[in-house]
Amino acid sequence: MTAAIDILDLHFSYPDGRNALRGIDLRIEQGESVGIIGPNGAGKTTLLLHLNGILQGTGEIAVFGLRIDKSSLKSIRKDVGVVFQDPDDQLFSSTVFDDVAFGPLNTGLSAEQASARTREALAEVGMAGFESSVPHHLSFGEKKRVSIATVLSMRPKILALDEPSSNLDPRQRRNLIQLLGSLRATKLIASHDLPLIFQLCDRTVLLNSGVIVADGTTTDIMHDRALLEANDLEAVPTEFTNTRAPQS
Amino acid sequence: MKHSFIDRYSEFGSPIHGLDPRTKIVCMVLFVLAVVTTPAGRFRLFGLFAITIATVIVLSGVPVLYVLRRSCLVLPFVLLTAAFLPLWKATADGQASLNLLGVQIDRQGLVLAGTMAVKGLLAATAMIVLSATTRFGALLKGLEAMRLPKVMLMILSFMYRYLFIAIDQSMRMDRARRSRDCGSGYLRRMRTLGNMIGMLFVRSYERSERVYQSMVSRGFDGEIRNISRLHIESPDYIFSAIFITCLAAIRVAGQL
Repeated sequence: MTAAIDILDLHFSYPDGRNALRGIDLRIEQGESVGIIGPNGAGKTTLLLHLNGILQGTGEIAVFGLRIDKSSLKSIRKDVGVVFQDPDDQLFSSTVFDDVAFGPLNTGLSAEQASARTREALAEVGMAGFESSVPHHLSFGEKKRVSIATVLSMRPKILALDEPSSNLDPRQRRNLIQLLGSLRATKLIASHDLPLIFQLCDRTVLLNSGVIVADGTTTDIMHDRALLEANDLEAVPTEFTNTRAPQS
Repeated sequence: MKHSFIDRYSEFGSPIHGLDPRTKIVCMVLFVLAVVTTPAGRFRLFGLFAITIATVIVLSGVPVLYVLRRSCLVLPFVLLTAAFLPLWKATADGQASLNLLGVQIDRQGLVLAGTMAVKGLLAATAMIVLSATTRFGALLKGLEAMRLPKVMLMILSFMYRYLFIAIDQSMRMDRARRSRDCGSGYLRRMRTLGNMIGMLFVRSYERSERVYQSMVSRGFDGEIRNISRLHIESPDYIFSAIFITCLAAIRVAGQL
């Protein structure tokens, strides 16, 4: 089976000279849920932004066997849905409906099809009925849900989420974990929220200073206290690791 | 933080709110045209126009005081220009009819100044009625359906979306400043204010890059595609027919 994502020797430095990624090799199979953890500045966001060609470093990235280059960008962006950390970056339209319909319309769907997809995606994240709401009248958790809907409406095969639980209160966070657990796409979740990764991902990749420090099952990595602390992370208290939700 | 004070009445469910935005845009623009082209000094006609727009306000359920307070914001600008008219006129043809504390004031100029103020006030009121009874998104949709250039629409739409975030950010920055400010001098405060404005600009610039990235991620190729869900229905026809008839009647009455 072709890998969902295949990254070979990826390097990237920002215009200010900071080397954000220094030789990443990563293969993610279809249907996997992979957590990407690491301290601030480890390169998690930079890595996610490479998955649909927003940033283009040196090295090779293939999505479902298709190499990312100019000619393949359009179809790759249809397959890879990136949800940004700040919903105010993701939601730029004056109504929720317009924002969720934005992606489908760009992929060339008719108005009817795009409307249907929009309603479907909003229902999936539990935000049906908010179509004509204005984004700045929504709560943070609601904005986050709509952000996810803006990507779901494109029916992506891969979902890449950047810090999905940041700034959410416990109840919103719980709802979000449930929502993400119910989505069937291949998932990459970059987060500091180790309990969330523990619940949602079978596999975890630990990133630090632009290189992959560890790659293994979530259980192994989360229980390696020395490894986590050496990489400026904190081991998850056992009461969290015992309550792991069963994977569907 | 919430800023419902900026568009607080646009979510009401009155018959006026339910009209298609295009109906309201056309009616209000016609109203402004009718007011602006009415000859100076016909204050009775202006009164009739005021009654017309007041009826619309009452129907919409938006508090009259709210509309008045907003429309009075244009008065200083109008009055600043209008205030000199009576003086200029006096020197032009020398028909001064009033002498106020030694200043020659021309009656005709006074009428002109009053007309200007009233026209400004009525026009502003119409626009406020339009914006208070229409969601901004719907207003943009209406303008789009009326073929306003897309670039302008995009600028307006982004402005509306991010205005609130910029206000939020500046409020937070100001709060952070105040909580560490133990009575600094005026100059120092001004300097901090300058820095804050600069920071706001830098942050907005950075945000614009992230917003663009999120748009590109979803297949943005330079063209904004929208689904229009506007429908002109019978209330729209009825409202515009009555409203435009009123305007025409007032103008015709003015000719008699």
